[in-house]
Amino acid sequence: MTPKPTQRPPGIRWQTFSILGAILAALGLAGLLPSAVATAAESPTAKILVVNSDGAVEKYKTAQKSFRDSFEHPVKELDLSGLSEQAAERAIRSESPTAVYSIGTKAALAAGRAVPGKPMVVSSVINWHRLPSAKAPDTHVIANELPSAAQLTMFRYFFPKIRRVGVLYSRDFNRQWMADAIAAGRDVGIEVVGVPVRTSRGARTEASRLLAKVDALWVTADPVVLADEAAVRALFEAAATARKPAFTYTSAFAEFGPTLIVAPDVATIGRQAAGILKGLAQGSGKEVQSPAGSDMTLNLRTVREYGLDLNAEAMDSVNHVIR
Amino acid sequence: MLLGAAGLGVGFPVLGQAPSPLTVFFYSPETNVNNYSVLKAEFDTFLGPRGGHQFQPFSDRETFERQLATKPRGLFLLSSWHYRLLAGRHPLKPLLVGQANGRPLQRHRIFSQSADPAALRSQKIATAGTRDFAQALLREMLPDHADIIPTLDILVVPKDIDALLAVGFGAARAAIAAESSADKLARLNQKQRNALNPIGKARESLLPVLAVHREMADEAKAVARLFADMGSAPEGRGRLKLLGLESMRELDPDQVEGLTR
Repeated sequence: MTPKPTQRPPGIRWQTFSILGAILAALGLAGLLPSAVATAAESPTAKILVVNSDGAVEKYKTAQKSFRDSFEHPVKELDLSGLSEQAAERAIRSESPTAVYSIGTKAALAAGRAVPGKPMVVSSVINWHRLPSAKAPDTHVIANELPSAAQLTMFRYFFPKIRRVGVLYSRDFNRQWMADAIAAGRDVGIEVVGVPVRTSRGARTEASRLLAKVDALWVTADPVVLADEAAVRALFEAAATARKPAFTYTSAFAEFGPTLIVAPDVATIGRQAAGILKGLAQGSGKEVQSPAGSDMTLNLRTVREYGLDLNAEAMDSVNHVIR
Repeated sequence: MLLGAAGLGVGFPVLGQAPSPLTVFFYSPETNVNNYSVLKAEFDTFLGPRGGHQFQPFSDRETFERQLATKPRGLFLLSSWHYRLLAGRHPLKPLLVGQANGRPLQRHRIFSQSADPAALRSQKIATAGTRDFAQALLREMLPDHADIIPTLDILVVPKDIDALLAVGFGAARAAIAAESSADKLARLNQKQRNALNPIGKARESLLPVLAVHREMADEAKAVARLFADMGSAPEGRGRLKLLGLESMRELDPDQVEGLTR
């Protein structure tokens, strides 16, 4: 199967372009050049490849468009939907990119295998730490969740009377995250109560006990706790049964009825990715960034049902309202 | 509030005269508005039953300005900075100005990891405003470091609080944000606020204004009256909060003059 190039307006289709010497130098070609800053005339061509795991996924499309709008240079865009792993790798390799922006896990894995050693910015990957290329010095990452401290700050903003928030987590994956969250909670006056579990079944069992002790359940990114859809649904149902609000980090869980979703703004992630690639031209080192923008969904139905004290001021930060 | 509205001549329509529905066009370069659907839905459900009026937010300045230039049947809710730019080209009349924390004014500042403005050179600066707005503020706030401004990498984020938190979490070296947003951060997370050094100060500016083409002023009275009364009832106040406002009031003569200077 051949790759599906994204439809682009005439004149900015896949094209090679001479990029400024400074950018070339930072994109790993400095060694090929007589000096770190080559003139455009001396520059070999540079190709920035944007690899989208699935162009039909709205958030991937948003990140891609935002990157394209911010990057200020033409880029090649590749949609891997429908491609096997091998076909995806071949498609990427055949483009001989100078640098890659990978959106989603499939794109990150395929690009890491196809063009190892090439500068790559990765976003929209769950558990990016587990990518084989995660520790490579030329792999730059924009994490998929807002920092725990940012999420807690928003919880406090919306619900100033919430004092204890419960989290189910696996020590194998989130021991450090949990310690950081507990410390961040102290900064905003929220006690974060963590309960370690070994399986998603254990998480379901513990959820009810935990909910009896806290003001809200914080459903965080944990591959053990959120093993499958049934496990996710069970956690939110437990919160609903206890008539306690559930907070979470991704709009993918909106259908399960969380009271507040503090998700990253995907368009901002695309802009950050463009900024990282441009920053390489100035000699930036490895970048691992948190998402810089938030996208907030507030469920006013559960706010009313549970009689929660909502800070009216916080409405200036709401992106989506569920009534 | 009612008195202010009366001063505007924003009284009830003459008995028997059914005012035709108008549209309130909204655009703000000061915030990267990404909650259009919420704004549209919430303001439509407020304005619709009160005369069939509509709310139309814009994400793009050019489109908004093109719309304004056609003199559509409606009003314009826009930032005071933008109003000043447009007032010379269009015969606009400001009717109301937003209020927050009991005041119609705000002040933007640069909040940086470093207290030294020179350390900003070639660094990333986060802002919830558009690039145009950010550049204008930077020129005003860094008069002695004008050479730095073109080197800055502007990262546009959705909200002031995002811009401020981006500094604390390392996604930017500095942020442009309203003082009130930094005060809010201090109330929520003092540690994050303490990490920010205010290093540039813009002049105080008016919060968003509701304006109209002069020739539409009479026809717009009923809608202006609705906005003037929004802050006095929960249903309206809740909508204004979506824009970060508490209420809207008539401008005093000095404020009107300031908008055209």
